[in-house]
Amino acid sequence: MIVSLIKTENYNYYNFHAEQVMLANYFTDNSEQGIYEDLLISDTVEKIFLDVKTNVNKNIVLDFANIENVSQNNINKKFYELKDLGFNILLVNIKKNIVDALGFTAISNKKNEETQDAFKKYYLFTSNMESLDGKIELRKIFQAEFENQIDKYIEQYEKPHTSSYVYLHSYVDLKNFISNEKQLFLFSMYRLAMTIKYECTENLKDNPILICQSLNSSLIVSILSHLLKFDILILDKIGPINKLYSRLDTKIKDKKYIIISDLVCLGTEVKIVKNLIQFLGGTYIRNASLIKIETLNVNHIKKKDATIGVFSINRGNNSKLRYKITTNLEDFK
Amino acid sequence: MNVIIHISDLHVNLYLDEDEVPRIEINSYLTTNLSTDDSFFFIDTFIKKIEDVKAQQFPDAEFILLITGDITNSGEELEFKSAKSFIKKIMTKLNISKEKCLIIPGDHDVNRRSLKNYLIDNPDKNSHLLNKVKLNYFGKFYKDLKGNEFEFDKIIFDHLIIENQVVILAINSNYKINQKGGEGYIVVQQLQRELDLLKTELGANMQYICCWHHNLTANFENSNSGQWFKENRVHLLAEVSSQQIKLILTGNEHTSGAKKIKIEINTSDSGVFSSSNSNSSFKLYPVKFEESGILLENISYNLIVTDSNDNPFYWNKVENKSAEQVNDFEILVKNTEVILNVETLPEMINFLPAASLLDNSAISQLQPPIILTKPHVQNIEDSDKLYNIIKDKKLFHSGHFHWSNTSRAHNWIDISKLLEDKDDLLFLKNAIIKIIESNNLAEDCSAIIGLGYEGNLIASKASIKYDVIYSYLPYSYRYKDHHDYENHLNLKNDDGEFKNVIIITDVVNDGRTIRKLIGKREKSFFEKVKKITVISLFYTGDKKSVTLNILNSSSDANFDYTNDETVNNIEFYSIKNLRVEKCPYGAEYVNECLIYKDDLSCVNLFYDVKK
Repeated sequence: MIVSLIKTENYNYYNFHAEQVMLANYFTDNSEQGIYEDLLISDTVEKIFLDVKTNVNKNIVLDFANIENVSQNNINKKFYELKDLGFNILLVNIKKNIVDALGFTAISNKKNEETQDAFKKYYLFTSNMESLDGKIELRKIFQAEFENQIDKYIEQYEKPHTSSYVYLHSYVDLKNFISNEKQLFLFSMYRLAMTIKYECTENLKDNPILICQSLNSSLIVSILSHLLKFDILILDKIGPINKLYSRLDTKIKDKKYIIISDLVCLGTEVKIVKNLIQFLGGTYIRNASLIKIETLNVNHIKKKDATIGVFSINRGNNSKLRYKITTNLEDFK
Repeated sequence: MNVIIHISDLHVNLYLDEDEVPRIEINSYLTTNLSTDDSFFFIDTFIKKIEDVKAQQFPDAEFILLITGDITNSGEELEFKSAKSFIKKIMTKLNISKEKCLIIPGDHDVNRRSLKNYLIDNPDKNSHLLNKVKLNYFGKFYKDLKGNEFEFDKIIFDHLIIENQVVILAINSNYKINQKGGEGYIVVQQLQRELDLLKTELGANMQYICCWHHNLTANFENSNSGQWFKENRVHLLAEVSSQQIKLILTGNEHTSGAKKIKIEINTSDSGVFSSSNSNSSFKLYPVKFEESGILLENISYNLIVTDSNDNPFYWNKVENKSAEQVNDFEILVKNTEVILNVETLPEMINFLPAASLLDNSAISQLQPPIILTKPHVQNIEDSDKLYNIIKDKKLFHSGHFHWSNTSRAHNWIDISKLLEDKDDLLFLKNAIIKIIESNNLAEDCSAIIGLGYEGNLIASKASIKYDVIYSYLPYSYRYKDHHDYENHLNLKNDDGEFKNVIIITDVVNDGRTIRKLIGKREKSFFEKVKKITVISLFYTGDKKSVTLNILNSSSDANFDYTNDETVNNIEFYSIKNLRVEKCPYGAEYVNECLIYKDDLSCVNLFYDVKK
């Protein structure tokens, strides 16, 4: 399974690091490094290129972000095979040492965009790639792709549903999304793990613990635990109800926590868990979620209170996605 | 008298290669070259032998022709065309009707060339399932000979009844054969279902003989499992034994022989019929109905090659003792002893299992019982490691633990704490994968379901690794804590798309929760599922012998048909067996258990009693 393929109007996008992580940790099961994999092996390239060959769109963007090295130099032959099949290939976020290792240095293009030790864009075989001028941003194309897919899983309530003192007009059926959009869900997990790693860099050395509090988030936490190499805590009415708090008391103190959610709307549940952690002597670091509803302007939230999310429902897309929150202070429409 | 003629591995060979040049290496007397008499000479020699045997020993014999596979060498259409000519001549000359003929495909009857060509445009990692493609030419050949369509997806595709007492089953063992070949394999659950249906149709008191191509044991090779998938062989033999089948007739190994497997199962291989470079052979089995029972006499014939001008070869009877083969195979042994002392039996307690109230049509709709009496062999290393974690972290608790009114125990394993450590969690995920891999459970799996938070946590790696749909459900006693969308399975099975499902959970005690899920809560989904595999971290029940079918209703002599759900298609695996003591009090525990009644000690509730 290819998890990172995103088809846009102008090109098809693949992420080498995501594929390397998934292949090594799950499909061939010969590594337990999680997202800390940084060596691209030929099996990953082979797997991606087999999929590339089935593409109708001949413009291919290959993202090398987070790849530090390649294992075998004859990987370059696989690139030439694609060239012979008429594919135009753009490499993005590729380190210069990898370009050297692959022997592509001789292929130069004035459109290449470089920084000190990497190329933001490296045109490999580029007979006709005007459509790839401008920034190639994973965040944007991922957001667009996710938006297209999640649309199918937003169900309207027959009447508004009360939750946390507001009315919700629709329900995001994440369980169905997870079952039916496996590829996108797995790429989202990869992206969530990478975002957590990036946003919580200074706390990583403290081995923060991931907390889950719902059935959906228990699956997310299990995957993140493997990718990030973090311990977990199940915070639910698991175990005897009367013993829940006495158990927590003995373990929360002096540890750091990241709350993992499937969807954060008003953040009520997150606040409850955060208060519980802090009351019991632990340290709340951040909250991360697959989907977040941006009920506030990002400029009005402190960074540490903002949810780390893979996808957001915001002013720009909530109408299209038919997601609405209302209160009794306005009429229903 | 009925006499079964057993021939196998004809390997009718293409005479010409792609360049229309005679092939150099043809190892069969039977080829597609019908312009000479060579092949028919072989056939005529065989027919003459049978006629002579009949005249001398079985003058009133009615013959049954059994061909156990590898009729052709490459499964090519031309080979089948020639094979049809040879077999038709045998049938005509020996007066064998098409109804008295069982034609079984072997792996060489799979046309690998057709399958490879098909896969170029239609790649399929499960190419072994493309039955109509791989046995296309065999199917046409079968219809030409038998007049019936060959049922590609059935395991028992034909049968023949002798004297209303013996049933010979024609079974397809080519399930796993693909464009690369393969070994014998039969999907045991499907065999079991088809056999049960047949038994219902034909009535009781029939004795069954299985016939298929691949050898389950070896006369020539140094392999106990012959040319059969090792793990499947174990399950298959358990099923054959439980069905009280005592004889299996096969081919494939090109070595005539007879062997006993397990205590009561005999196998008989007729050897290769028409090989020009090894010992050709066939067998006759006169079927004898005697007072003491039913048996098949075992008579073998070898082809003696003389290379003389006038008589290049002839058939000769083999002396069983020298060949170390038995003289006959017991199919049924009758008890002829008279019971002299009859004890008065106690009165039967009124017991009406739900199944007894059903009529025949309803019975045929029921999931037939899986009788998998083999214990699941746990991985010792994983089992010990899991137990040590429980001990080291003190996760096994004693006390009073209640999950509902009816689910109460005096021990509890703190699974959520077990899963908190990332390394322990990864170990358990990998242990689940090991069970799936070592028992080939992923091969025909169409969905994986995680049960509960813990099931979701430990199933996540399997949900990613295997390219099947994944879903999850809360435990039934937690339903009120979840949204409606979470409480129900989001998969539809109206078309029976999900035939084989794996459920992953943390603890199984008596299986009641699982059966309730299957038979009641998600009945509309599961009623079309043929096989449900349950994989659990722990089995905590009180059964000493934990077999694969331990969760099935039929495995429990004291099954509560009134309050429990009847389910019989579960196969169960666990990492560790760790018994948990159940509450000894019945429904009146509220008044009878002093600790509960008088609040003498802490009763740990996993649910809200008021709700």
